[in-house]
Amino acid sequence: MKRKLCAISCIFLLLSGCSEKPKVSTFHAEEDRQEIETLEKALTDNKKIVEAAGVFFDHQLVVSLQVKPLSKFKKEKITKSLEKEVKSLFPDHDVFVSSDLKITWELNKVIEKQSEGKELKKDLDEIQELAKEET
Amino acid sequence: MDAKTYQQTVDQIAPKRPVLKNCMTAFLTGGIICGIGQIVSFVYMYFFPFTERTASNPTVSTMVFFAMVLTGLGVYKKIGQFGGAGSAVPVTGFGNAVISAAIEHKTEGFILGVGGNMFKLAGSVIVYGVFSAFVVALIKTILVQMGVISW
Amino acid sequence: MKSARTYQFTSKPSIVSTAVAVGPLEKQSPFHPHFDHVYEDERFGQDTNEKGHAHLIEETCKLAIMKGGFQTTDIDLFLGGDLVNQMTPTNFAARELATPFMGMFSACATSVSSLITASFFLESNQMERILFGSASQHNSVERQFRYPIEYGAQKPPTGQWTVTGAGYGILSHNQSDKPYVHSATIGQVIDCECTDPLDMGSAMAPAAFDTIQYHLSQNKGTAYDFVMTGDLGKTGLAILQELIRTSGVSSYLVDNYRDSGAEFYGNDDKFLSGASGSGCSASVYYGPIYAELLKKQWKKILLVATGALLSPLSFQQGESIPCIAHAVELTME
Repeated sequence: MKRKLCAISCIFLLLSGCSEKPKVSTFHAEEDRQEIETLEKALTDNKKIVEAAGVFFDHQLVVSLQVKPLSKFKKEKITKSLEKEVKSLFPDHDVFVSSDLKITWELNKVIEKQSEGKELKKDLDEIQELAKEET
Repeated sequence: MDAKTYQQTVDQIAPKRPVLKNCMTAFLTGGIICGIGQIVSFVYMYFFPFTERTASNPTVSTMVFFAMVLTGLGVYKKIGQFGGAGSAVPVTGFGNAVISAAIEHKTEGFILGVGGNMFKLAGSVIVYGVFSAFVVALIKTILVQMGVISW
Repeated sequence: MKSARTYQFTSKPSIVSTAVAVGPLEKQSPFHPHFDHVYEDERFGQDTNEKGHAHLIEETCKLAIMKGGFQTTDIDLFLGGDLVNQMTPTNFAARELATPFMGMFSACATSVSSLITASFFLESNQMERILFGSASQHNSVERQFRYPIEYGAQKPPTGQWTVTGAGYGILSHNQSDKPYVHSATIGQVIDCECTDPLDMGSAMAPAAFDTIQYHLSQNKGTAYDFVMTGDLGKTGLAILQELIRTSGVSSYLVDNYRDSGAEFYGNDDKFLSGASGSGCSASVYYGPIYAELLKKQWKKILLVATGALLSPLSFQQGESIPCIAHAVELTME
């Protein structure tokens, strides 16, 4: 009886990991609902992402994502293809996409802080600098 | 005595390495060491401005530091007897090889003893690691020039 | 194979005194009540393992001399050897003892090869007292033959632990209350193409079998209390017993085959197949076994020390492990 229960719950766990929609959080400095919705749709539609975050500021768009564990081997490819997709959706924005865990944490911090103007710019610039580091 | 027939006798009587048990213990040991490594990585990313990519450097140094402490205390060889490949393959195993050789040869002084013999065991790792990196890079460069693949 | 490898000593040279000293780990041996001294420090107060090894040899030799009631100047010859490169620990100990010295190398069989040689010299009646024996120290031997001490390599169940111990004795003319050397068989190098240095027992068993078979065939009709090999370990002893069983040797009047290495650390799995090293056979033969002979617990025993004649270089060059075994028959009347 116990074994059967174990097996069934295992199957459920596996299945639940398969078709979860990504958790998306966004922040827009200029409160443009349209852009937020476009971005959210692009991210939630992507089956390979676990969570994502996006911040808009003055024609700058910083996106971070976390890839599903089993797809981690193709992390770079997924990031690149998402970058292309987002760039095509927002051709007049300066787009930056990263799948790094630290960038995700930092971006989530920025979204929570909900800062404005100069501070937001400084934060976003810092994040992009961090991502460019090689060593 | 005939070597072949003797070898048959030996195969019958001498205890064999318990391969399955060794695989399980190696898996457990290697997994735990790598788990600790991941925790160390997270610590560096959380408390310091390291990204996932740049945190690998201090993580490796920290793991080698742990290997150094455990080797010096005589604990690593016990982990090695239990875990086998699980403790030898991660970077802690490389650290243990270098550090144990350094400890052993201190009696001959620092230059000829420690310096000259430190890489006695790990030397081939470095030589063949560098060599294979060179070969792979060469192959990739040629293929890129031929247009088969891109960078 | 040369036919005359077994020699009888008509002058019946006696082992008049012995001394055994071991390191801290050997305290857990079931033989430890018979060890004269158990040191607390595996380096014996010296700053390197090799110096400690030399110190161990020197102190044990001095103890054997003192127990016999002699002075170092009474010793006509010191025969000894160890496993370290060029036998430097024995050489340095001989320097301190300041006796005439001839180094002997038979790997782990040196404990018996030195006794056989001493018996021949005494038989020539030109010497009075000869100091013989051998020793090993775990750290220096591991460094010599295998990996650094702290290296985490996994040893297989056939592996053995090198003993930190020394066993030395003094051979002199016959004394009625002391065990004497009745005969000896000199070993020949046997190579069964074993190549695993972590399984010495399998490599040395054929050499032990060859010498035992030869000695027993030259002494048909003699009943021995037991045959004790040097350091075959549990693996090698099992193989030897199988070789004995499947050959005609089992018809001789011996049914008890023991091994110092298999018994040295008792049943502790940590030591895998058992003990090894030139100090293993020396400390057991010239410690507990000698004490039991003195108490007349045994009348006639055959001690067969085994040695693996390889070097770390020969192994790396792909050579197999040639082995040798020397046998000495001790009698107590």
